[in-house]
Amino acid sequence: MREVSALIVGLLAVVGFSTAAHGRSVEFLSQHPVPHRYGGGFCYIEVPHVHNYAPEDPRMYRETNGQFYFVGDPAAFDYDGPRYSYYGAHPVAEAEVRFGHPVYCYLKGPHFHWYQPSAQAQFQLTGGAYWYVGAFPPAYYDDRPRYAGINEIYAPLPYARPVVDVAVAPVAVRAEISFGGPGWRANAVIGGPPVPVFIPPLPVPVAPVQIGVGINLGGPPAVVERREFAGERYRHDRGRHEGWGDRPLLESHPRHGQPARFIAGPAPVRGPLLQHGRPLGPAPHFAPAPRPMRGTAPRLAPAPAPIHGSAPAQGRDQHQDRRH
Amino acid sequence: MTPFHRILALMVLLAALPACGKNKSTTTSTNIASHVQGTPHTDEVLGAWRNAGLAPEAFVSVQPVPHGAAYCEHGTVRGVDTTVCEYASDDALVRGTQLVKQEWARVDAHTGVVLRAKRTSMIAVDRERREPTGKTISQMAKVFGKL
Repeated sequence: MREVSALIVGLLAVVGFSTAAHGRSVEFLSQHPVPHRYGGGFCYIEVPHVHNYAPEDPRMYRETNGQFYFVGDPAAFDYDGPRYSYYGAHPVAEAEVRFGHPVYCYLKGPHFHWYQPSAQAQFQLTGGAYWYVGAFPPAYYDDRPRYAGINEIYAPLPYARPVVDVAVAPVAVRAEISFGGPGWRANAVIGGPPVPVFIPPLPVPVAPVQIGVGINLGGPPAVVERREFAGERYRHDRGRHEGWGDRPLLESHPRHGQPARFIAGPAPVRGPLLQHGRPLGPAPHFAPAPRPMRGTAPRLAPAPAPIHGSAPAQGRDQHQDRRH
Repeated sequence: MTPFHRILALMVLLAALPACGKNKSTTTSTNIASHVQGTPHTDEVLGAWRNAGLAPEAFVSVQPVPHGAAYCEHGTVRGVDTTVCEYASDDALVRGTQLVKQEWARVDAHTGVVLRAKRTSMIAVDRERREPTGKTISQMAKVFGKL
């Protein structure tokens, strides 16, 4: 009996030692942010590789065959490589990466990726961004509740997002353009002088509800806008119109197609501009919205891509949309 | 020790002397012969990195050859620990790659990349997080992938 006990103790010791001796080895498929506890920043290795740490937030990744692929916007993590502007959800169309099944980016509004869509993918480059103009299969909608949480991660991140001219959005997706989406309770965009956004009349009866206030920081060149949104419409919903699940559409916007509202005023030098994880309090005041621009929307030449370095957000005298 | 034993010991010693020299030359010739045909040689890999401005340093042949490879050289590229190996077969390369990954898990390496070009492998490992961005490894991988 004593020998059996000794054997069991010995085996447990061996197992314990071997477990302790083995470090963590996590495989990444491509580039990704480095967790803050490991120094932060970005890992630029574009081929499969291993680290001794796991992804900081799994909502920004897809796991395929034990490998993690980063599906988020790298610009929020000090990424300084090539970048291409996208608008709205789309299939991940990185030519060098094979998943074995379709993988989708559920980021709302303008965002960056390091890859240009492959030639076969149904994207249209207009207004300075790639728009997915193809149809989404049922798998996209099935996975959306699981993966759309990525927008909650990005909402409070203060970084320069691409400036996209929504006035020239592809007709196929124009109906879904809104000023924002649930989860985007706040964002900060550094851009040119405040310019009212022109939104062409939408061919849908219901427009998203918008409650918000824009704050002009330190003069004309910088604009920090804060908005709160209650609902959003989605295309290719196959008649289900489920939106984002648990977030109700509060009410219909009484004035369909209104432009964004900006307020020129002193910037809040101290105090948080962004709040993480909870709705903003009531807006301090509401300014009357600028008169909507009528007539033909000014068209912009497509932005050259890729863009290197920091986001081209400053000094751009063009219409901006900060929908997310 | 009897005189017979002394003579015997001397004969054995004399016989062993040329054998030692032969062994040394055999080892050297084995190293040269160990390069695998039909796959990029280590020199080509190092040359490609050098041409890309990566400056590989202190690469020497590894003995005994690790990971079941036929020939390996080890050195650094901008401070990143790097091993280039040539394998005699695809199976040997796959097994070698598995061994490398197991070793990384054991030593808790911060970053590791193993790539193959035909039957030559590139193993780059940053054990001490000298380069968290991985830009050197990324550049090495791009050059290696074109071989």
